[in-house]
Amino acid sequence: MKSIHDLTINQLLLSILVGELVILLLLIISAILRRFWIYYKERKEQKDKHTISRVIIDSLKGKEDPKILQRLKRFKSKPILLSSLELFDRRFNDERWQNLKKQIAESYLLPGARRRMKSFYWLKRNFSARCFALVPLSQDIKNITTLIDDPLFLVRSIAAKAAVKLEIKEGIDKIIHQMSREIGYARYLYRDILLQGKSRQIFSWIAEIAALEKDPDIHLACLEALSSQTLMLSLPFLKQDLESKDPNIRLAALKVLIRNPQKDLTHFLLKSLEDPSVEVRIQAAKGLEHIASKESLEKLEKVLTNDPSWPVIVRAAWSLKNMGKRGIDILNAQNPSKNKRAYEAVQYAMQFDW
Amino acid sequence: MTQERNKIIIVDDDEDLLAMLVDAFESEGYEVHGMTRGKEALSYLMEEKNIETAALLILDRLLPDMDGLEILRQFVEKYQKRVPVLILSVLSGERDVLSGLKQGAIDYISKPFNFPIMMEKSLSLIKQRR
Repeated sequence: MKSIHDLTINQLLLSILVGELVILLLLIISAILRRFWIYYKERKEQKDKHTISRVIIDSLKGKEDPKILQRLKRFKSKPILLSSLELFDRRFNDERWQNLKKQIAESYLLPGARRRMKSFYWLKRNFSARCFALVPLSQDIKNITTLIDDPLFLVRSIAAKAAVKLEIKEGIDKIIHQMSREIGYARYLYRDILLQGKSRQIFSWIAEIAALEKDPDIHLACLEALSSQTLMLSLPFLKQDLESKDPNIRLAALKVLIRNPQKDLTHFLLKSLEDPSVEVRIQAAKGLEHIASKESLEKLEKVLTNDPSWPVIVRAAWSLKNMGKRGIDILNAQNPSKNKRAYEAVQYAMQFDW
Repeated sequence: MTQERNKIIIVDDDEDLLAMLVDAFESEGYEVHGMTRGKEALSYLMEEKNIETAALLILDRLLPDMDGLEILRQFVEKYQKRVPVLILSVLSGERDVLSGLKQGAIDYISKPFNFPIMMEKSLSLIKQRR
């Protein structure tokens, strides 16, 4: 006969087993329900996307009822409407699309974007920034410049796009300040955003900031932006930058100078061939390939035969190769028994392109 | 007797854009055959009977299963310049455009593009070839 004690233990074990089974069953049911929910959500999203696309396509054709846009009312302030418009914006750039986009955004996106820009949640601020970047309007200048200072990169970088599209001077100033604080990818992204504007006005403002700004980080950010564009602007501050103690400033200034030739360009390039920084010497050798004067050919030959750094020697050889017959004659005259390094650099340059 | 060339073949994985292009060309009176997959397009284009009445091929470069330039290469290799090819692509760098033109495309239109201009270009290209 089993004791009371044994029965209690058996009952306890049975209860635990039943409990475990119930939990397992609940987990299975919740996993199935979750799958159904995801499936339903995906289907709904696809259906919504299709509806939005259909409305936009019909409106673009201009053959439908002008009230057709009211079908988008139920997507007011919804991210799905924004992403659909962004998708169409990557397809078309004609006037008809720009007008339609503005019309939809003004009715169904921008009012929500203006409300959400002060939200605690970054996704809502990101939504606002994306709306302003999609349809930048002058009435949102204050909102855009506020968002450029957002603590989150995914908000402020998108607001920067809006500022560039609208050519907001205060916004450009803020972008340069933000860029100076970033490193790596984020820094390049800001530079690319500035370039996307393709506006001479924007780069004139950057040149103004560079001329006035004493902070070396901000000044360097300006130089990096200016070195990406040929502007034909007078940049008198470059002379001082080329003599800076900071090799990064000298390098950036040299890149700007090559893209934007100024008075005494050759003089500065020749002088930079003797710079203590390897990167600066490489850049100077690269810049000289467009100036096939007697003096630059002689100086490059000197670099080819005497510079202590291999990358500089090879770059000099490449530049000589690109300078035409006189440069190639110098390369062919190199003798392996007299200067093996120079000869190897010549072979390398003749075999491969930069 | 030569058959009238009034078929336009479009290969683009962007279904919305494809639908718009199909609608637009159909409303101009052309027969349009649209495809979203590269391999499907290639096997269709390699059938000579499918291109007998083709007046224009519009080709996207970035297809999910293959590069549009590979389709262009095989198409030009087989038919030379019998059918003009227009490339429509988000790849808009100098090298991308040049590689498309060197492979035999008659024009290269970068996305985002101006829809009415693209239509006008295509239609005048077809008329010039007639």
